Amino acid sequence: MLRELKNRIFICYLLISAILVIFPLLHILFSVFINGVPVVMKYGIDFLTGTLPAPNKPDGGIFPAIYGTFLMVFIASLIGIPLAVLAGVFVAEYPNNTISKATRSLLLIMMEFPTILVGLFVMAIFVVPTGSFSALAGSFALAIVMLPYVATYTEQAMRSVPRQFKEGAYALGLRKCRVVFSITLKIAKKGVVTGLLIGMAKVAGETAPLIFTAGNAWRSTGSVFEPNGAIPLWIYYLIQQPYANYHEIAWGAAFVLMVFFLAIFLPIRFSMVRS
Amino acid sequence: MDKFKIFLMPSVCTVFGIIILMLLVFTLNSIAVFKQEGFAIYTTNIWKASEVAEEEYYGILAAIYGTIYTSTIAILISLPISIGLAIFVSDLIPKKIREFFIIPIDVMAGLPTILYGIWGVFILVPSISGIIKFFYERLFFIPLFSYYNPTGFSYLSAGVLLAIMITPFATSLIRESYLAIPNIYREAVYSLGLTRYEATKILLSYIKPAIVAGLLLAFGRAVGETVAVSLVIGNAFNIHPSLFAPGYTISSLIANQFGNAFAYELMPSALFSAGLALFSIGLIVNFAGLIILKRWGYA
Amino acid sequence: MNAVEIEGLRVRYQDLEVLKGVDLDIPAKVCFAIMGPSGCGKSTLLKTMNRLIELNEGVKIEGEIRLFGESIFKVDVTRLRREVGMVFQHPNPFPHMSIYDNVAFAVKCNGIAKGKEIDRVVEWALKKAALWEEVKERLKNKANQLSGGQMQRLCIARALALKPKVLLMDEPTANLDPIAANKIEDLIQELKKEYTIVIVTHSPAQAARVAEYVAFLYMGRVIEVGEVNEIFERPKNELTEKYVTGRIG
Repeated sequence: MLRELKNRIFICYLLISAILVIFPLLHILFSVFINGVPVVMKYGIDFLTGTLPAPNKPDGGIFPAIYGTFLMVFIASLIGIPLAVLAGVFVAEYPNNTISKATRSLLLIMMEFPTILVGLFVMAIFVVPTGSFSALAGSFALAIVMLPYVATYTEQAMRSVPRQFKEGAYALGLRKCRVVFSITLKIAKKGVVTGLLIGMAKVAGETAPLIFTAGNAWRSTGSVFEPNGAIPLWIYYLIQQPYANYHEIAWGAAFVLMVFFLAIFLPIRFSMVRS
Repeated sequence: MDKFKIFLMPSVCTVFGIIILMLLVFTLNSIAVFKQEGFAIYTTNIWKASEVAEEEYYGILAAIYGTIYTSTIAILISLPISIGLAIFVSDLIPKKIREFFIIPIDVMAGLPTILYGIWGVFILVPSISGIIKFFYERLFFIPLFSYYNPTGFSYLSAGVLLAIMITPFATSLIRESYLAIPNIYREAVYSLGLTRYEATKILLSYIKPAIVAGLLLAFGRAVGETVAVSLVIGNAFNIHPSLFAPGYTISSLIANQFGNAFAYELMPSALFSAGLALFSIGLIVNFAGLIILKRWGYA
Repeated sequence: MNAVEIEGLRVRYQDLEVLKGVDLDIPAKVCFAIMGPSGCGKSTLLKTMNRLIELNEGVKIEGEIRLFGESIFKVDVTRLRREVGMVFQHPNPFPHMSIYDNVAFAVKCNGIAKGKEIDRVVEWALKKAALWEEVKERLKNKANQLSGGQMQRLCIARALALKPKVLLMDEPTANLDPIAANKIEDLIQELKKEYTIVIVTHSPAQAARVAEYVAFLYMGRVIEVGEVNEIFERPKNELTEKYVTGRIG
């Protein structure tokens, strides 16, 4: 039976593809875990609070990178979230407007856009004029990367609010601004928050847009006007160093980054399953 | 125009402005090198940095070649597997436990790319170097295997790593359109007494546009990926047919060279023109992908 | 003076003319029913009276509507909607707000009451809507925990709290079970003593039970309008007769 044989082969193909995808993916998570955990254990709490040691010297930690990541994600959110939410509101509220239609396509394209280009752009318009890499420049780049995620999620969440609630609100004599901010956005809250968190999780792991904006620094002055490190940036540079203890620290930092990412991403993803 | 619209306008204009300004910045900064070299910046493979401005000459053909080479490897590996996994998850996995397969895929699609990078450098590249040795020793006369490279940093490493990175994204797109096939077609196809293979073949032809769009968008991702690739590709100005040769991609070239570019007169402009090329490829590929999806009823 | 006067009203969505010249006079403090088969334009007519129809893009309105002598197209739309309350086919209290806030929110926004006064307005409105006894112990609970009938009465309370002159009801019992629907109809009987109620229904029986006046709308035109007894006992138009006896619908 040729027909039956073809079918068998086909099912084998499906199984093999599943294994071929799942295996490397789990291998990556597993490798980061197995290489990162012993490092974090060995360095102890110092790994989170200490600074980078000299080459081939024991101890130390990645505190400046953790600080940089938190600082830049925070500032990026301050800039990016209001902008993105308002843009999302516009697209959702005026869906047939020409600008709206163009913005929707633009946001989808921005989401897939090479992030290194965002870094170069911010370098050209901010780093070059100010004469220095800075955490602020890094934050601008991250804000731009974050924007399409937050805006698109906001738009979709607002459009999923049943029309009857908006009509009910307008029928009470409320103005558009009130209806949007007190009724529609509040009902859509879960979707909007999901967008914010996904945007933040995304930029917390970004490396490329930071290379030419935040610069990188092994020590942090804490100032937003000075170059600053970030966890992904540190991993990127530590890997390229020839020292064994730097590779070790890179693995530890990768583990920390993975934990941060999973801690934000998994709860969001599971809450999507439930609803 | 109502007041609320006017209130929202600035933020929408900012979103627009960013993209337009970006295009402007890349174009304006490329002018210097275009004036000097013309279109040759994209068609020659020379990288001559010099303190003397007249002696500088830049051509990024190697990076363009590497970008297309690695992305093509990635797509060739990823596409059949993505389709297979999409069908596996949709048809062979019961609905109740489907999410347990989808969640890890989604996690991997969003995972910070630097984690792929560190895995690539310390785990993938050493294993690839074993593969290179094996094939080179036996098949060196075939151009594809004709480069000896004991380090493992190569087009192949970059292509394989990219394939792993884009597969979760590609398979999600294909799975979503596959699951969205209206039930009436699905029932009609199965009612004809076909085997699973035959039925799936018909259903796949139904979502062909979505597969093409997925391919384009995945290609766009592969082209734009920077750090993971720059860590494993070997960063060499090289145009070589062999999978095992080290090379550059446009984005890894930018990541690698911009750090010291400002020491030279023309190099920043050359790198911006590389960025402009990446910009254009990204825009065209993504736009085409989105148009196909939209025509077909998605996005 | 009539509560609502409609003259030569035409409403179009893009190319589709939904109302093709409607003239109606609605007296004050009665229940006025607009009945007709689905798609006849009755919801559109109702939504034009508080200009909610303008939320749809590409809507064109011609003709005139006067509320107690004043053109509704010349007043501020938010003031109009405050004076013309509306209850919808699908009970739509705001799901993210408490029972109390559902009533109090628009009262605060429209500046109808302040501070302690708001509590009194809320209590008054909930009593008017015959809901107070059922919810007074749990005003802080979310509105979406109520039953369908309670939700609908909450929506009525929400509208009443703004002290409207006219109350529009768009098939308010269509999505309720018979017992809950009965309660709403009883409530209408009470409310029409003080308010002008315009109710849209596809059920002639409901129109006969609650209304003093009935208009029969068919394919965007008023076929017949008059006192309830006349329409049901001595319809002048053949279409009206067919409709009230259940032969078209």
